[in-house]
Amino acid sequence: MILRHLRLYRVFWENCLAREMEFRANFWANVVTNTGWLFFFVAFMKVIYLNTQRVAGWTEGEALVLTGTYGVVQGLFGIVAYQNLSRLPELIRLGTLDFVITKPVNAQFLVSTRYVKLDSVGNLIGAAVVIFYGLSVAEIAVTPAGFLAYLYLLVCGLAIYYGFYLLVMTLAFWFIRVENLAVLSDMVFHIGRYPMDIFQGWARLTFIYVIPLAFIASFPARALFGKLEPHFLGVGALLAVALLAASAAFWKVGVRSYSSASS
Amino acid sequence: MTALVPGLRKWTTVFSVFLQDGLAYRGQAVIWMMTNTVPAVIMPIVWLASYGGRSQIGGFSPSQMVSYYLVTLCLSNVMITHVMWDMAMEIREGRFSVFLTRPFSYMAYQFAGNLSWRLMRGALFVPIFLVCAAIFRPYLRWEGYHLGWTFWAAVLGGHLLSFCVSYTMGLLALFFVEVRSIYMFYYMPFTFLSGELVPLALLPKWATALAQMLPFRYTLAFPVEIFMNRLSPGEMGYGFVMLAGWLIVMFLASRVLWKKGLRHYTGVGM
Repeated sequence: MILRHLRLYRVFWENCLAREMEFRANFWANVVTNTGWLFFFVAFMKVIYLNTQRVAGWTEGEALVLTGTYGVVQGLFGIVAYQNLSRLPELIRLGTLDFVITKPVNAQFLVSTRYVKLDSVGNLIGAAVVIFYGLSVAEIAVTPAGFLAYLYLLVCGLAIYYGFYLLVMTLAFWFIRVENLAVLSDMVFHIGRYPMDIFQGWARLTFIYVIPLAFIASFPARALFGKLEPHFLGVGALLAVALLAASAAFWKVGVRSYSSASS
Repeated sequence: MTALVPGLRKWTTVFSVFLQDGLAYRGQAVIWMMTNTVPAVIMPIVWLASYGGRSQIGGFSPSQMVSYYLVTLCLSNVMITHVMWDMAMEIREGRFSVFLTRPFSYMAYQFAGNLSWRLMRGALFVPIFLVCAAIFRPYLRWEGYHLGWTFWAAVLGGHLLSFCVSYTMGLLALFFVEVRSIYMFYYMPFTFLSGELVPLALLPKWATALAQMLPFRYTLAFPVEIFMNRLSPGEMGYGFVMLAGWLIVMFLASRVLWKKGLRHYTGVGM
């Protein structure tokens, strides 16, 4: 069953690659734009560190690794699922969701992964460059354990990002104007760009346990530096699994309540 | 009263139509405002976590830094206009042709419409402002800030400049189809050079100097700096001269683009 879906994903990949290569100029324009935003954030970091040595205990190099890490997660999510989920309200509104749920594969998988947005690869490569640059500035020696913890938490962070965004977009089954909610959730997720340690008290707890932005970039980065309390590795996995399960369940509820365009 | 001033009636009508239109989209409006508000709340939190025991960063005490962002947020809602998006859409969809036959200037029409939108946005912003003020209450302190006529002149002038700039950018849609990327080239430097992201004094020296020459600062940071008593009389005078200069330049640019644009424009879908 999983094999079938993986084979299908390979078809999506080849199909989308062919499509992108048809509109090469557009593809490169998007890559340039995405990379541009990354430089914007790096410039922004530089301006902040022009005026201070540390932000909530994070040095400039560490903050650069953080920005890069966020870019990596965002890039990966963008390639695989972001645009697809963003189109869900439209699919529901126009009734074209019918073509998805009547296919003999898992509808959630189809809705989430149909189009592979390869131009986000610019984001990804740029972000990786920023991470390496940050590591050199911070003069941090990365241990194998730290690196593994980093990768592990990146996966958790991706799962959390996906689960959360799916939860928000599933609201489209009941609310027509969910695009605005998507914009708002994007804004909230952008907070994940900043070191979690700027928040104290209940805000900090919210961003670790309720809207787990900390796992998208802050905690992976800290794990890379070897500065993360080990119990968060467990918390990350728990939250990832919980969000994936909750979003999948909510999705099923949404599909059940979906009345298609024609009868 | 409208009978007394001939021609006023068409403006009040335009204004009220835009107002009703705006009210229909008030949910979306609140969401748009939140996208501005979240960074404006996060930035002071970032700075507050960066003082590390120091009393000031770039000449701003914690209280002043928070006040700066709060005031900038208020003014950005009131002053900054984004008419280029609607204009570009109207032009692209060919609805623009209708305005060429109407008995008033397109620029004045956009200005009247924008005014009603400002009013609505200002009203919707009040609860957001109260929440932000509540969040930062421990840091807010009135330090003899200036609300005299120079401040209001800068606010009014800055708003007019912002309108002229965005209107002129909207007119670019008469020449190009893909104006979105052009607008991005405006927004990116805008966030840095207008004082929206960080106070201009905190930028590298060359950037601060650049900001004094470009129009972005005069659409936002200039009145904020007057309010917070950060300008000497000489600096203020220089600012007003630049503001007036850019107003004239952008107004003339809009006139030129209008004439040339109409010749270039082919009515799509009419």
